[in-house]
Amino acid sequence: MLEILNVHKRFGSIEVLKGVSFKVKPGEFVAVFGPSGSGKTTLLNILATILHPDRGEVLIDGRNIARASEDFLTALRFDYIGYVYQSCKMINSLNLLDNITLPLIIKGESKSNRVRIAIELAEKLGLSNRLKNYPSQLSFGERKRALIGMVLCKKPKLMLVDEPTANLDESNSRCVLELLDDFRQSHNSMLIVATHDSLVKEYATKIYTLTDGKIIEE
Amino acid sequence: MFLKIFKIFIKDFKRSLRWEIKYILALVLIISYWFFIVSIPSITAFNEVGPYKVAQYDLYVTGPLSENTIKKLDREAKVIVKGKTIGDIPVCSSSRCENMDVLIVNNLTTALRLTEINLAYAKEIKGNKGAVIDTFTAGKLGVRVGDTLTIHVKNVSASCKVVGILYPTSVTRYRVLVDEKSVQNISNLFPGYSCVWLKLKNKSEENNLIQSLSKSYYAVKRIDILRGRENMVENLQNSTVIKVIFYGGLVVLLTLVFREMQVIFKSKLNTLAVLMTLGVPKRTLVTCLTLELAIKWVLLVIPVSLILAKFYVENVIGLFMPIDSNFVVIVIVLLASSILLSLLVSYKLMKDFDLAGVLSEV
Repeated sequence: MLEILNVHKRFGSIEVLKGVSFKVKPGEFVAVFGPSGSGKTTLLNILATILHPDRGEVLIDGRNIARASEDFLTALRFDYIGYVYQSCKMINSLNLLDNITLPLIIKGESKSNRVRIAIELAEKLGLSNRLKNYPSQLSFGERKRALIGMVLCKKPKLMLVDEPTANLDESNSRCVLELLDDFRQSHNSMLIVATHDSLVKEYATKIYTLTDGKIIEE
Repeated sequence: MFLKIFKIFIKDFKRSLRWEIKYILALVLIISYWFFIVSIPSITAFNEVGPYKVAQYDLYVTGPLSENTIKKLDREAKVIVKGKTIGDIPVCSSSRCENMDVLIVNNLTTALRLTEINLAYAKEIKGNKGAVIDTFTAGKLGVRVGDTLTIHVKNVSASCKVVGILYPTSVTRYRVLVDEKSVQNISNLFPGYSCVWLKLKNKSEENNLIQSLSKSYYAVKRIDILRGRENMVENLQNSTVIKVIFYGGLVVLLTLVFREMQVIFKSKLNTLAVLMTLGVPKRTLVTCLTLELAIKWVLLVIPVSLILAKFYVENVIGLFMPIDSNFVVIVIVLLASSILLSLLVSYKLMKDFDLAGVLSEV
């Protein structure tokens, strides 16, 4: 269970989030819409424990992560949270197979298992013929899909996805959204997607709009 | 987890190898120069602090052995110093001995005056056999003035006392000065070897010696070099200068470490951001960053710098550069300071790391 209570965030003189509050239950697919600069990425960064809110509380299973220790937040990122950030940065010295299964490498999973999982995910993401390529040899859309694969590998309880369909055609967008939705349903995970794409509305169970630093449920 | 993460760092390093090599080369040049500077006191104190590491060394032998004897041999001999066999050595024939390192000659009174030796040893020489060797050779063999050098060739042994240690010069053909009789012997044996001989009736004829030497180009040059070296030694033994160079160099090196850590950090921003997002603890990343720098320094920068400095001192300058305990302490201090500094720098950089900022850069 995720609860966001009256969260404020300011960058210099600009207050990006002005008392954002909402709840996400396990198994929910929450879509956050909003124009560019409305604070969607900032909100996801706060939920991903990468940014701290200036005020307000973010409760994950009842524990306020806004005031938690660095060790606790690191552990949350390791076990609980999966974050598909907008820039699609990957490790350039690893090929796609290793990048997708990076969470498994860190956890010490055997190579045969990793390869099997990577092949399965790559097939679903339309990246089967790219597993030996390096990030610099991939398009932005391919990297986005690979990053989604990397996060799915973690099997997170809370999945945060920033613009999952950016730079993807409709067919690939549907493929990605279905994959995310399947994952949510099969693992009863919370899925929060920040997007412009109205296609996401077809999959979301709750839709919010973030405007002028405030969030409104549709 | 640590090893898994470090493997990723190694892959990152390999990927940027071309760039890394350029940076490492620059570091090596600077550090080898610093090594050279800090080893100067040991180098100049050569004659006082021996004996040195005994190492196998190509020793060209001639002198008391006639040319015919040498030719009959299989060009192999054993050199025994202080009762220890140093190893098999090649024996050269007359036509190949222009660059010999040891000469065994008769009656070295004149030669002694131009060497760095303690004249007290000269008085001990009663026989006809003595050797003057250069500092480099002495360092390699681990001998000092007064030590006995035994050259054993097949069944023939020749022992001689090291009576002089010369600073070698870039004029390789002018390492040993001997008296007339020896000159005749040597000149006959080695036409390519330049010898200057001086007739001295007794030790007091120093003026005659100087005058005689001044007539010879090589001799004059030799004296100039010796005087130059004396001046150099005096300057280098000025401890303030050495200290300033030492500490100044250390500051420069630590600045380089600081800079290198920043560069490593910058080149790994993506990797660090991705790993942190996946929940890798900052302290693991700090340790990996420090370990990478430490390995680079221990395996590459320090050894290559040391080899370069030693090569420069021994082959260009012509002196023996000992790796003594002082030098080892300096290297350890340098390494420890570098690693400690890199640990602090990487800790600070990781503490200030703007993860959200890096992730938002497209």
